[in-house]
Amino acid sequence: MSNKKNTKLNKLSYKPIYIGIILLTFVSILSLKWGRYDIDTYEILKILKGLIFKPDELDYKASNVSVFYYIRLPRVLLAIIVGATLGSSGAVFQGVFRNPMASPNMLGVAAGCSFGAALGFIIDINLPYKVQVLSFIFGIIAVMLVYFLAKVSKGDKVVMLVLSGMVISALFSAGLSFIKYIADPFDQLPAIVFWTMGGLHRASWKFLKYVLIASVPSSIILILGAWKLNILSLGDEEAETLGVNVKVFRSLLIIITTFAIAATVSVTGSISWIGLIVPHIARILGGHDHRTVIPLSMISGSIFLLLMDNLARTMTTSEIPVGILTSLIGAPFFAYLLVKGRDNAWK
Amino acid sequence: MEIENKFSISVEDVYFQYRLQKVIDGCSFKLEQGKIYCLLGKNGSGKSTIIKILNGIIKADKGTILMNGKDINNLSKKEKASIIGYVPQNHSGFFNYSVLDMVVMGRNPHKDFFQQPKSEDYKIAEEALNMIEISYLKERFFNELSGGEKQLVLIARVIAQDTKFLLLDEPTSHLDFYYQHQVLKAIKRIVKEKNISVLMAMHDPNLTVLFGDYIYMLKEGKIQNEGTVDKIMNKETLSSLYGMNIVVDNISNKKKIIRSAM
Repeated sequence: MSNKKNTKLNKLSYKPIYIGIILLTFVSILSLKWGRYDIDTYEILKILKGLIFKPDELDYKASNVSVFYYIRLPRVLLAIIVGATLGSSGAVFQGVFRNPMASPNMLGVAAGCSFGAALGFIIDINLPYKVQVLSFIFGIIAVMLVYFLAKVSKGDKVVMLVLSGMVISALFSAGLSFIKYIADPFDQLPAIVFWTMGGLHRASWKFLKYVLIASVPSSIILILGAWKLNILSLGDEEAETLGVNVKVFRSLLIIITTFAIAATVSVTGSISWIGLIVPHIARILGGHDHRTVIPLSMISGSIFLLLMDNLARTMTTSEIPVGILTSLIGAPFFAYLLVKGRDNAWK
Repeated sequence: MEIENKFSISVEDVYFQYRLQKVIDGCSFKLEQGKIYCLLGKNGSGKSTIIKILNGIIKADKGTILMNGKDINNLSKKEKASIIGYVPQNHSGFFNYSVLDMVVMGRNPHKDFFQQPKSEDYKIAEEALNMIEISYLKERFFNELSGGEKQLVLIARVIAQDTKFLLLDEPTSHLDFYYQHQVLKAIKRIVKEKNISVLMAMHDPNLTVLFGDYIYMLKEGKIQNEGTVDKIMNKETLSSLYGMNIVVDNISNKKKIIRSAM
């Protein structure tokens, strides 16, 4: 059989992915450039070249290099990773729950993370990065509680997971409110409120590494498991008769996305809407097959968060929490997709 | 080759209870290669439950099911899916895949955990579509097909799954006259060409007469009667099975029309 025929048989189209990668590169360079301290595009390419080939010879004290290396670059990279993680996790959750309304927060990870972070602001323990660490831990605990509750409940597993997610989220939200209530209103309360709005201003190489450890393995597993996710999305019984061990595969997907989400949220705070709308954009661009939906969700999530973060840090003299912008722009955009893009998205 | 191809499933004394209701009350039967077996019975007689027990969706409370001598409980999901294929009755979901992609999913039991379908799998899928003459559908999207076309695509998927054994739960319900016959003819063709065997739950005794080789009559979770069409599809057995007066018009030994007494 000729090669040409092979490609025809494998009729998955990777074109939107290639275009997306080019667009992402373009937006990333613009994001590195924009800011209160504008850096020339030529300068950016020069510093990047220096960083890659001769990192020891760069003058890190020079203001353009230091802004670029210590502030702009980690922030842009964090936006790319967080956007990709939120987008792909959203796509996975919508596939696992077979519901276009699903989002990564429905199993309580965001509620748990927010509670943990708030706890970190008010308790006095000697723990480095206690806000981030507690946030991560409570995000995981919340999902474990949801999973356990669903396991002991009787009924359809998917429905039970969704309901348990609501229950546990409600509990952690109540806990968060309680912490806000008892927090010092001049010092701790604003910190908690600002944290829950989400932002990328904490970006640093240290946090970046920590987020990468959780999200790179999860991304690889998601890309490799995308075809099986297609089968799982047909329904538990059908997937089982097609040889998928539904329990094991679904647990694997939930565990890895939970870890990745908890790691990102513990650094950035909860950034809403990306996980919900980005998979819809991906489906409009490349169809329903998760082999394209997952990579396209990663790319679109990155681009969307980069653009929002650029607005967040340049629109006003002080920074706007990016979580506000993702909702403010994400919600109307989603409404637009529902009206305009429906034909493509749901076919 | 002969010995390797011989394949059988035996169900021995199986019981299943849902809450306090006995659904399957001691069933034993055997399925051999190359035949179409039909399960006939009223709604609630346990037809679907037997199908679900055999494909492993539910577990029998008591009794053993042997696939080629191996206990079904000792087989992994993947092993089971490479022996036994299932054609679901109704299918609708949010996600919309192309017909070819849908059929390729049948290759999953032959793939490792993270292995992707290759062009040879797509070739097998195309052959499966060819076998039941629905290649013209391959570019279409599954959710946009008619009920009959969907059923045929799911049959193509089970052909691509390449199992020795097929389970179908009322494959012709919701289908019009044309597709009832298209679907059953497709099943008959693959049984012949691939020398596999089929167990289907049927609700139409006339279609059972036309397409079935061997019939199990199920009443209240028990097999009340069994045999070939010419032997057991008669007035007495059917009247007792459905609990109504039934008339059987014999056209010839193998052709008959079953109807209720007016």
